[in-house]
Amino acid sequence: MKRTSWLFLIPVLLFSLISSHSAQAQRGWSPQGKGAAIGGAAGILGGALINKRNRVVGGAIGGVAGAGVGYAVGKHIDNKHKKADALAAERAAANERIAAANARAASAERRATTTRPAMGIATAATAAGAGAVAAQAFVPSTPQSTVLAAGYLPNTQYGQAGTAYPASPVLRKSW
Amino acid sequence: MKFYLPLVCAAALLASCSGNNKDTASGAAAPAGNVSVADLDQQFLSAWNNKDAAKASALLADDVQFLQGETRFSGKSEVTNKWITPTISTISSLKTSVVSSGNDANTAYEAGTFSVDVLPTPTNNTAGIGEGNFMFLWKKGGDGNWKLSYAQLEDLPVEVKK
Repeated sequence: MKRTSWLFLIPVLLFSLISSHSAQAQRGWSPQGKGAAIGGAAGILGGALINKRNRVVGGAIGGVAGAGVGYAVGKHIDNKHKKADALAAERAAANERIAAANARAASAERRATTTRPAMGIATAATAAGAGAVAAQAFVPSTPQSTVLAAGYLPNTQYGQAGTAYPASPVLRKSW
Repeated sequence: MKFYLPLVCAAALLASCSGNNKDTASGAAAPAGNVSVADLDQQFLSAWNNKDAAKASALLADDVQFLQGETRFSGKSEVTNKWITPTISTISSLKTSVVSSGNDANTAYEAGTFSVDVLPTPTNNTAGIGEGNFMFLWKKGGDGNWKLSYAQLEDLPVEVKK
């Protein structure tokens, strides 16, 4: 091995240092730091290989340039991770909101059911007299104030067939 | 020896740069084909927020299917007349949060949650906030235009706006 061969050992040592460090503590290195170190190691190696006349200078220049590029790549990766984390947090918050809304709605519906007479099915025949066609229709009888007091809008189409949520005294259809 | 050592070092460095790609699970729009489903949905949402029923209807396929609660509407005219036209004037500030999306050459979908302001009406003079889940399936037509082929909404109870 010639006297300049030791230069090639620097990136190897750096690389093994990074690998062992990141294996022991996953959170120890920021993506920028890791990128800069890997880029620097690669730069030293590349610089020393390219500049055969003076491998020390080549390695130094390559190391600085490589570290810069590595830092930029690491920063980009870090930004992507942060974006993904923010998205995941937003989704988790939305899921929590929906779960809370479901729980509150179920409670409101229970309250509405206990404070009103059961949703009756009126037979038109009994009202219109004998001979009338027996047509059944829902009779909405939920007090709207009960639903409003529970923090929800009342379903003004409660009991109407052909609507999206006819059995819900609470308004569900928004979009 | 002189030639092998750099090669070994380079190989080790290159190997260290690969892998470790965490699956960021759906999320942001990542159009793999020739259409961005996020753009399609954005056009549709913009039409709703601008109260442009004609534009929203123009994005529907002729054989579009719409499912919401107990309602099932089929075809462009029924979906327009029974969903878009009666609803578009009752809401504002429609927003979606995408949970899953994907597309290939002829189909694209986007699914997630939505939130919307429910405007007061003559029969219900209190403003509300609605939330729910949505799923849109887009298909590429024979003319190369993408149209909404299937839409499904699941609404949660509308809360009084404070």
